[in-house]
Amino acid sequence: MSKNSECDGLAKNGLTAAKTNLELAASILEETAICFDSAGNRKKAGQYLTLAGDFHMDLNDLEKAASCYGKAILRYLMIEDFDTAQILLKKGQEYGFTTSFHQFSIAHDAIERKFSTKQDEEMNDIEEKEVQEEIFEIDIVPIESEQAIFPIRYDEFHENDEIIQDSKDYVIPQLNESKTKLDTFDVMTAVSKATRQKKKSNLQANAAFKDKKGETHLIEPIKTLNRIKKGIKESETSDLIKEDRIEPEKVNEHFLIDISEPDTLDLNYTARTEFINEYEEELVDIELVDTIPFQWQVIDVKSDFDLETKKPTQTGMVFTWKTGKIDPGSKLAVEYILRKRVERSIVLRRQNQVSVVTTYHSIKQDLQANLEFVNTSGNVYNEILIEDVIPPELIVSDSKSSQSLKPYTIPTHDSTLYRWTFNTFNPGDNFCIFYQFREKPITRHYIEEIVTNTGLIKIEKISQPLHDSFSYDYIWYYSIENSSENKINLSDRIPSDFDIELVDPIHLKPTLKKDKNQIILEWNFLDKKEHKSFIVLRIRGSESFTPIGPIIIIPGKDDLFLLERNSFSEKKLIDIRKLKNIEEKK
Amino acid sequence: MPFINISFAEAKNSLEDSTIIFELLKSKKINPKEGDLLEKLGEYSRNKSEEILNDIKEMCYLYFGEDGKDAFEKLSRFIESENKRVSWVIFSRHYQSIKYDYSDPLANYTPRITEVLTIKSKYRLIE
Repeated sequence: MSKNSECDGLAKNGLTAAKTNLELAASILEETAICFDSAGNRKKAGQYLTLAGDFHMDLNDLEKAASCYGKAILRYLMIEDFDTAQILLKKGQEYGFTTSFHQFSIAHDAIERKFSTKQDEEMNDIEEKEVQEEIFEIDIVPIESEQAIFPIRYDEFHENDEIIQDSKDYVIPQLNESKTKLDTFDVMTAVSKATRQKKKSNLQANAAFKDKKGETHLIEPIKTLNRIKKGIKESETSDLIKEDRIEPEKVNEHFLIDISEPDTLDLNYTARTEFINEYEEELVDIELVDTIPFQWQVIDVKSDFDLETKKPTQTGMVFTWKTGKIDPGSKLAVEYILRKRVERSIVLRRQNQVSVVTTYHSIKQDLQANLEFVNTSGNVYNEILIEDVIPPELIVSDSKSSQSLKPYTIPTHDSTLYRWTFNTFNPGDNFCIFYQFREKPITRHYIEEIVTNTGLIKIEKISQPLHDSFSYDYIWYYSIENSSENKINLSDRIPSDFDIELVDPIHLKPTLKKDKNQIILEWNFLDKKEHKSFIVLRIRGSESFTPIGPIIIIPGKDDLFLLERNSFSEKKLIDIRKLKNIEEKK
Repeated sequence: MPFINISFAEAKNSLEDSTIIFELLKSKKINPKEGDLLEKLGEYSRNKSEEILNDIKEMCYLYFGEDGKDAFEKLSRFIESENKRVSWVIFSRHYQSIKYDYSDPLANYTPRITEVLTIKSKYRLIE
């Protein structure tokens, strides 16, 4: 008979005995634990010791119970199950076990030692992070172009529209004083940021024309830049919101989430330049000059003018348009379809000089980018910093470097910066980074109000995608305010391949019901006890979907009249942490 | 906090009255996964269907891994047998807790300026 079968036999005897004789059971269960100990199964030994301890408690034998609990705690510590060890310690203290019980006292001290070590480690991590995020103030002294330390070979980079590049060189006095690598990289980071901030990403437009006297006039035409909003069409929103009130028992049949269409931001923008003849006479020889900074890739152009020239300059791609005449009151326009590029800053250091090379990379239709950088200078660089600004419409779902380096990601106000650092870059060396992107889901904010005779019911839902996650993670935030006398039920939907990862507060977890290709979330207890509350959910899945608004059900009352509905879209910052803090203080 | 923190009376009464589970969650005596399992047990005690029993079995395999079969047998004794007290003690000391991630859903959350679609609806309740 194997050791484990012997233990299992004892366990069976112990559990049978428990039904009739607690004392006998406790003693056999302790024997079972010893048996599992000798078989090396500490977890099972801990379980049976706990059980024996509880039966000793039932027999009012505090000393034996405390001894069993103490031994059980030590076994959980051995297998590093600290949560269970702590739970048993707390339970033992509730039972009245004190440190005067030898085994329990040993277990108590062991847990304290373990947790003080863990806390020290966590504190060290925090301190390290603070050092990394310290901000440097630096002096940057530009070097004249003839002294450039990283000569650009334009022939290599201007072959096509995929990569545009420029370079600036600086002297950084602080680099002479830097003693550690951390210092120099921090200075290089600050240089990269300062250089990026100086670059303009705004579109510029100028126009010239002649009046009937032949005099030339200069004006600034009207410029507009809009996102093409494929994810937020009015028709789509009205389909998903209830048109009429549905009977409570039919709610589940009626509300289905849309998993066929991705609910993401469009990658493309439209930029439009308009020339309007506001004179009461015909204008002639009209010339329009648009400068599109390199942060933008031009996908397509539609124009009422004839293209004269298109050429790259230091500030961007310059389009010159011409037309012979324009009638009074008429309007001529140029419309560009644009897409953001990945803006890359490469900072190379040689002693107290740095070269900042900026490149702009177009994103292919398959949402991939292979960003390559070759040392064509003939010099060896000892420290290299590369920062890639990922456009705000995209999330990185995978990134790999040729040297198997790990990036450091930094959230910015509307996008993410991927930072790569490495040492020694020899002439001819190639540094390649592959990015796989995915489109970013939009943030939706639903506000639902129901006016009743006894007060207002107001439920808001914010669905916000998490930017720093490789999968599709969303934060769903609900705020519930029920000033009426009615009890309300709340319902929502997630696709069946989504999971609810976390809930706050945990007692407001929804009950879940599977229904075809979706999971129905229900909260059935939002009565007066929950007059004002909030719920935060973190959900995760592999594809984006279109979240619907919260479904409010008032049991026994199914007749609601729609008073008004409107929707609008704007760029703004929603900080769910702040909203939650406000609700908590209420 | 885990099953070990639920007294026999609380466990037995939760089979009849699910508001006890809500209160246990609110006082943080149990976590949502433990709450789900208790809710399912209550559902079964009110409506003894094979389907619900299967759900309980699935949950045991999901939450207790290789010990799922044993956990299900111990739980079955609790919901089926007359001697509920001893059955509960045996189950709750063997399967003291279900692992649950207590992390804040907003941990590592960085708010960003982004496109926000706001949809506002107002209704009147006909009373």
